[in-house]
Amino acid sequence: MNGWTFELKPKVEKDVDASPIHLDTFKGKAIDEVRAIPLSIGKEICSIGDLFLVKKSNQNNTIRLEGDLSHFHHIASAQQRGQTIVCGDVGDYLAAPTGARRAGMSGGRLIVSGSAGDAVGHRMRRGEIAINGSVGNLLAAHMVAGTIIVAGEVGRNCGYAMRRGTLCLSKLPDLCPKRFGKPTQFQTAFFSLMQKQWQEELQTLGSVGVDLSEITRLLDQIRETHFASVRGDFAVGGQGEMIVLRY
Amino acid sequence: MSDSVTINGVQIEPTYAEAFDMKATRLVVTADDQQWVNDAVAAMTGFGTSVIACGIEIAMEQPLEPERTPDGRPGAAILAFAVSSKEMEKQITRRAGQCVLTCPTSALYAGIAATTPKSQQRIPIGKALRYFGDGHQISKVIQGRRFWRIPVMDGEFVCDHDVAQVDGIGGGNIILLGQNVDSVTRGCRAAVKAMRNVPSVIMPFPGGVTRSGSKVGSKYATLFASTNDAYCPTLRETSPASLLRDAETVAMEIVIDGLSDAAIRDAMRAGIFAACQSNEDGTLRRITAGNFGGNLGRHHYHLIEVIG
Repeated sequence: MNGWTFELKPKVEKDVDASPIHLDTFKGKAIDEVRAIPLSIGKEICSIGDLFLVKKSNQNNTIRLEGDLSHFHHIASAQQRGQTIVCGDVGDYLAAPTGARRAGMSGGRLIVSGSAGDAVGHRMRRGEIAINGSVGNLLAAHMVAGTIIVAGEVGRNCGYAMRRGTLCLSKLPDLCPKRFGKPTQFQTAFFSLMQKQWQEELQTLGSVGVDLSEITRLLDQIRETHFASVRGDFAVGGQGEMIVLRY
Repeated sequence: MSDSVTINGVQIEPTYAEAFDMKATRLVVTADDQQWVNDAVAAMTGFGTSVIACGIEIAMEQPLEPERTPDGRPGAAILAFAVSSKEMEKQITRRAGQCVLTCPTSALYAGIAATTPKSQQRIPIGKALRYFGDGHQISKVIQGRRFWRIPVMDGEFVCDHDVAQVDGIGGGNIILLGQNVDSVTRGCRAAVKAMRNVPSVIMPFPGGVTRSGSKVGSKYATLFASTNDAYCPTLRETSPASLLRDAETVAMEIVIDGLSDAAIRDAMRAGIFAACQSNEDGTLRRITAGNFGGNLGRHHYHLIEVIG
């Protein structure tokens, strides 16, 4: 069983590199070994146990993070499988690669009940991200593939240099007309399929106190009403798509 | 051997149906409305009555309400049976491409539940059809299951990457004999109607019934099946193998393919009882079954045991 719950102890004001919080890092480790894993906080090093109350959970292949993590960056940067659930806000570079790595998140599912900072899904390669709140600038920049659902507001330069992948947004963000096409309506069974597949998961999470009401509403609306698709980024020959409700 | 049993004037013969191991799979077709579902299913299951010449036995298993389909639209489950994995792959891929992909608003999903570990025997659907997208196709993985979105002229064709192939059984059967076409037709229709309520089985012939039951072999070297002269009324006096009795002038056969032994038994039982209940005027005389002496198929369904 590789399931973990991390409850943030004190409010953290310095930037934390959260990339070591990763299922593969924890595999086969005892709870004390996980508590001892080092994290960079500002210019210092501390351990996971200094910042979090660590518990094992019975949800296999799932990491649950609780608290205001808006200074925690690079969460799920190397996620390849399983599920990460964040109850609260997160910082920048969610699911984005660290250092010189070419790909960020490459599998599994990442759910955030709050908002996220800049560069969410940067160089994301595979997997699903759902964010109940808003995100900052450069959402899905250089995205390779995967799906990102954002129920709230989206910052500037959304989809910059995205090659493939899907963004589901409540409204059309400001986009450069030379890089992205015009919103186009079409019909597909896919978003009904996606909504139905997500529905059960969202209900389960809702029953254990993870507020995902905005994501639920967005997916319901995409299924029930007319949406439009915007393709791009043409500047890099991209075929990424943004599914938007209002345009 | 048990004695025969008579139900509502219909004699149930103490014989058995002989059935064979086959490769099987289930697909789910959905569409915007029931009419498109029916059209897609009709095309997909066309020319799929017998492996003898069609290469596959394929038919609708049951209609599915929107709550029971992957995308929440009206749909239908289809069962397919073939003698080999190779033939199954060939038939399913072709039919999916020419019959479902072509049908407006349709989508095609795997109907066999995923196993852990994932079944190694897979039949490609989107894996093969994606190339129709000419590079514009989109792959999406939802909860570990890969789907393909292929751009088409009404929007997108959505389908699963592949579907598991499982072991199935083909060739369960009952043969109804009576005094006239009306009585045997009535009995067959009642039987097929009851059998269609049994999950995991199909009756692949027209209306679920065939009047051209076959025997193995032929006087012509190129044919490996020919008319079942034992039940042909015109050959009653000329064929030494005739099994027709005096009052019997018509025979029709219901062939059943199923995903499990229990499913075939359930279907046969339901069919036999329903056929007997339809015998209002006593002209349906007998129900028997086809076998090859027990030497060809390892599944034997004794009618008396089946009806319990």
